[in-house]
Amino acid sequence: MTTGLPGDGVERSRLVEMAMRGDHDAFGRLAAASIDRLHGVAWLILRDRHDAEDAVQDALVRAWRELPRLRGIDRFDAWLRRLLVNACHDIGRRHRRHAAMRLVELAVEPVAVDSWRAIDERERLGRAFERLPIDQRTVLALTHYLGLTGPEVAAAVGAPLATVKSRLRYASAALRAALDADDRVVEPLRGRVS
Amino acid sequence: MNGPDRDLKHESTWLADLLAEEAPRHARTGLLDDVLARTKTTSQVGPRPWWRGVAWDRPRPSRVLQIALAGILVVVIGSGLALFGSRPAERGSLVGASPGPSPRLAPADAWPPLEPGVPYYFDTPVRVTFSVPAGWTYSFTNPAGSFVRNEQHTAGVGWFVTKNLYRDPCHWLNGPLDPPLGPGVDDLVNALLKLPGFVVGDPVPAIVGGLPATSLNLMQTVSTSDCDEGLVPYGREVAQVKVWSETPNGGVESFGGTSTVRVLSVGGTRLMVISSPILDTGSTASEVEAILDSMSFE
Repeated sequence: MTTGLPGDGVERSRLVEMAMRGDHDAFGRLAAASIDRLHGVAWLILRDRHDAEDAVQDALVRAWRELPRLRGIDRFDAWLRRLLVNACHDIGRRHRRHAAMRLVELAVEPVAVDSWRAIDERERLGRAFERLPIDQRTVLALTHYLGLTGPEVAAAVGAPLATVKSRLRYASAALRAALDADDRVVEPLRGRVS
Repeated sequence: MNGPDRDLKHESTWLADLLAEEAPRHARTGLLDDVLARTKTTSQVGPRPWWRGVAWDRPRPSRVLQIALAGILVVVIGSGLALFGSRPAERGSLVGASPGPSPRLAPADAWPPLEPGVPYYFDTPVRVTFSVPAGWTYSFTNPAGSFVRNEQHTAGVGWFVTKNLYRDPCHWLNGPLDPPLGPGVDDLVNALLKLPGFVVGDPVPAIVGGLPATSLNLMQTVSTSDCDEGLVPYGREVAQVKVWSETPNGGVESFGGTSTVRVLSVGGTRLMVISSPILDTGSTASEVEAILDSMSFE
């Protein structure tokens, strides 16, 4: 998966080259084509719409600014992903408290009987995903949402491949453990309200 | 599929499907505009010098080399400080020669903490020089102006060239006032007094950056979640970029729904200086006040 840039490789390379030379319209087309995917990744990593928007803005503004120094047009996608991951981690470090606040909100929400049918894997995944450290959420999102290979993920997070594999292994295990724990919590509650 | 029964081999596909469903498919309408507005006012760096043409992902120097270089640096700096410290008269004359720090162009490519006490300015139509206390950063800048906030997201100060207002800030997708506002300070003040979705206090005279202004307190009365895209912008500027669109970090709604707006003319250009929350007491209020006091215009 790439960042979803427009057209074929040739067209994309042409736009990157034009943007590197200061063509703002070309950069706008690149940004327009990639912004949804970038936002999706940032949201998965940060779990907050506004923080995700901040991260995407940060990454794209930095990309525009630094583009003339990009070495190799074909590296644009990987470079942009790395800028995004860095931006997410910068913001994540400043807003760690948010996750705890959202968990509290979830815990006190009233739940109707019918709603239990809606508490499916997606919601449980969301809660479990949120509990993971940001490093592990990042490798999961890059691997499973963007479909990147191990070396591509390693380039995006700036870590050795072995570290990425290790994070992925821990993240998968932690996610599975968290979901299993949710299974144990949900069942008694389900019995209580029904 | 139950968690415990899930086959590990299928977990990857299962996770990919769920994450694809979980992640928002589209970014907010307007996010791209915000990005392009910021990049439009951001200069690109020059090409990398040829002698630094090594791959950007080149291996880092070895640990031993890093430590050795750090040691050399410490010795060099230490020697320099010792030399400098031994000549107090010269040091004094150097400080005396400098009347104070020159205003620094605030960085536009990230959200780093701004250095406290340093005079900054943004590359905006009306150049506003300001300084912040410790723990403040900037939230965004666009062709209309800029917004700085504290790192806790509990207070902010912004300034914007304001050409028009949304007809109904809560339902801003319906567009701006048509016909648009007149160009005077009073035109904007009168429009703010009738702003739907807000209770607006009486206008009072104020001074901002040494210039006369009219100040109003605004309290939001609509629920942000009922508004278009969950936002309540109320200003609109030259390039049709929403001035007040960044939430929760930049919108009045995230600060308890209160803000103070000061409208003034800077060399014939109408500026709206906004602070949230409304000043009362406490350290946050004094920080906001300190920023307002530090402002000057060119």
